[in-house]
Amino acid sequence: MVGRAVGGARYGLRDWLAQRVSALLMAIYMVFMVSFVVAHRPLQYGDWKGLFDQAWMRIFSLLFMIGLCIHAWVGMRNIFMDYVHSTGIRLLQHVVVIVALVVYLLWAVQILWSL
Amino acid sequence: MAVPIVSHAGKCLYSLVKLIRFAFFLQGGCVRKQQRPVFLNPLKIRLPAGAVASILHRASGLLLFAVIPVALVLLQRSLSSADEFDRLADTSGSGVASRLFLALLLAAMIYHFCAGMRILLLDMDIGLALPQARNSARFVLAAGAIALLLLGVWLW
Repeated sequence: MVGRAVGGARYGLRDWLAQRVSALLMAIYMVFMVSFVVAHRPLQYGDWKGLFDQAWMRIFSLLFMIGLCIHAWVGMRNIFMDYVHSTGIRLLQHVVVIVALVVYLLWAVQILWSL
Repeated sequence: MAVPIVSHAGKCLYSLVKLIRFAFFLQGGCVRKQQRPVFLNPLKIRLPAGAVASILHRASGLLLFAVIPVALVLLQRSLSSADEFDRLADTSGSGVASRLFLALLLAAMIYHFCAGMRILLLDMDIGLALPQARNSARFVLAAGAIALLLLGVWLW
C-alpha cells in the first residue's frame, strides 16, 4: 500500500464485474442443465447427444466455458493473492492457472465441435 | 526566518512525546503488553456465520476448479457413444469412493451456487444489514449441509 493511490491500477472494478457477470451466465446454464436432466429422467444417450448436436447448445456451452475460465481466474487469483506471499511462487501459480484454463477452453471447443 | 523556529518547536514536541512514552514505559504499560496471551487455536476460534460461509465459498470454489478436467473427461466420454454413456451411468453410482466423491462434488457445486447468489444479492444492497446478512449466511450454510445429506441418502 506504500505510495500507491487507491484504484490506481483500475483492474479491481473490472474483475469484480467480470466475476459477477460470469457467475450469472453460469447460473443460467446450470439451471437449464438441471431442468433438462430432470425433464428427461432417466437420461438416455439419445436425448443427451441430441442436445449437444444443436448449434445453439454448443454456443451456449462455449459461453459457459468462457464464463467459467474468467470466473475461475478471478477466484484463483484472489486466493493466491491472499494466502501466497512469495511473489515468485504466486507468479508461477498464476501462470499455471492461466495455461490450464486456456487448455480447458480449447479442449471444450474440441469436445463440442469435433465429435 | 520561519523555518528554524518551526524546526525547533518540532524538536521540543518530539522530546515531550518521548518523555511521555518513557513515563508510560516505567508505569509498566509495555510490560503488560508483552504478557498478553497469544491464543491462536483454529479449532477454538468461533467465527461468525458470514466468515464461515465466505471461507467455505472459497474452499468449494477451489475444489470445483480442481475438478474441471474431470468434468471435461466425463462430458467427452458421455458424448462419445451410447455404450460409453451407459457404462458411465452404471459405474458412477457404484463404489464407495466414487459415490462419496460425487456427493461431495455436487454439494460443493450447490453450496457455491447458493453462496454466490447471496453475494449477488448483497451487491444489490439486499439484506446488507448485519442481522439479515448473518441469517442469510446461516441459511446458505444450512442449504449446503442439507444438500450434502440428501445427496448422500440418494446415492446410497
